[in-house]
Amino acid sequence: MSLATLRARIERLGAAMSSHVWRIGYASRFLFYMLVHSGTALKRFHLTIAEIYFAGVLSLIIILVSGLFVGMVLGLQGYETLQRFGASESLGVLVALSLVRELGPVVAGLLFASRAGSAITAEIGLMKATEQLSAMEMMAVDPVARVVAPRFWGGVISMPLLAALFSAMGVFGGYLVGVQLIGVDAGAFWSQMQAAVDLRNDILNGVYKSIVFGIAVTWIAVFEGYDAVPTAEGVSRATTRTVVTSSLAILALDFVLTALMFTGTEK
Amino acid sequence: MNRSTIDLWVGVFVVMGFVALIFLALRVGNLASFSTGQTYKIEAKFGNIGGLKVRGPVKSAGVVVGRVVDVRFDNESYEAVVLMDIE
Repeated sequence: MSLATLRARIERLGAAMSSHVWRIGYASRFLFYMLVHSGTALKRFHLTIAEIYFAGVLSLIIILVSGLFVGMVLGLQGYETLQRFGASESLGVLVALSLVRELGPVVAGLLFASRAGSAITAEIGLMKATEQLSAMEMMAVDPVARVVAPRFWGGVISMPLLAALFSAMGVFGGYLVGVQLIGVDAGAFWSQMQAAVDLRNDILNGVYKSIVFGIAVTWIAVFEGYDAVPTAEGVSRATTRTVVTSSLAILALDFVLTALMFTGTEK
Repeated sequence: MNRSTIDLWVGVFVVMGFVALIFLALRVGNLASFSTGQTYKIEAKFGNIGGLKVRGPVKSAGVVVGRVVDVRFDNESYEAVVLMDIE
């Protein structure tokens, strides 16, 4: 390999790197601009309520059903493993801790990204492609304040509630399989769970996680939609990017948050 | 769909979310057994604390009477000092 081709490759790497960094900076400035112009979304709250309906209420079915099945699977698999050690009474602890700490926020976040995040991106992207956003600007209506901010706040408000519903439904699913189907003692199931699950360390940390995931997913979704190339292909690419980027962001953030929350504090 | 139907559904959704949170706090977590009553502190020294953890239960005759607040090492006597909150 000659020196010139090596140089060209390094240059391409540098260009790719700086364009990524530029994009992150652009997204951050977009977030900042949106937060500053959130006044309309909060003052005319019915705009945000309509978005909570689309992002939250319409995601209820998938969240509740998935939560129930995840909890039921945890009940079956957990029992299978725990009974080998004669610890099948701890099934409640296993189900509840894995749900409120990890699976609730993460799986609800992934479902939320694919159910609501992609819809937000497609909607905003299509509004841009059909020049509805430009038309608003012509009428001196800021599209970020009128279209983007309500969707952002709707998603941020919906996500923690969906994650809590997912966890609660999962615990119920674990109870159905563990206690009703397999026959673990109901008293031991609940009392061991209550003894082991801590409000601040486990439940609130799970809620914090879901808030962070909600912000990340809706931020990515509205940014990708607003930044989409205004063609049919561009919108479809932006939608795909939303799902991929926000899923990766959830998993990466989950690792960081878990490392911050659950190590070091347990003395 | 008109606005009042949307409002109704969002209200139902928010109530469900908070019920789920309360269910997690009360039924799954230990908020109900969270006591805010008067406590006093006891310090005890141990040659070996085994697997004693902060927030672990302190039991007398098998009944939980308090929680471990702090576990630290005494540099002079080379023993573990355990601070407990007793109800």
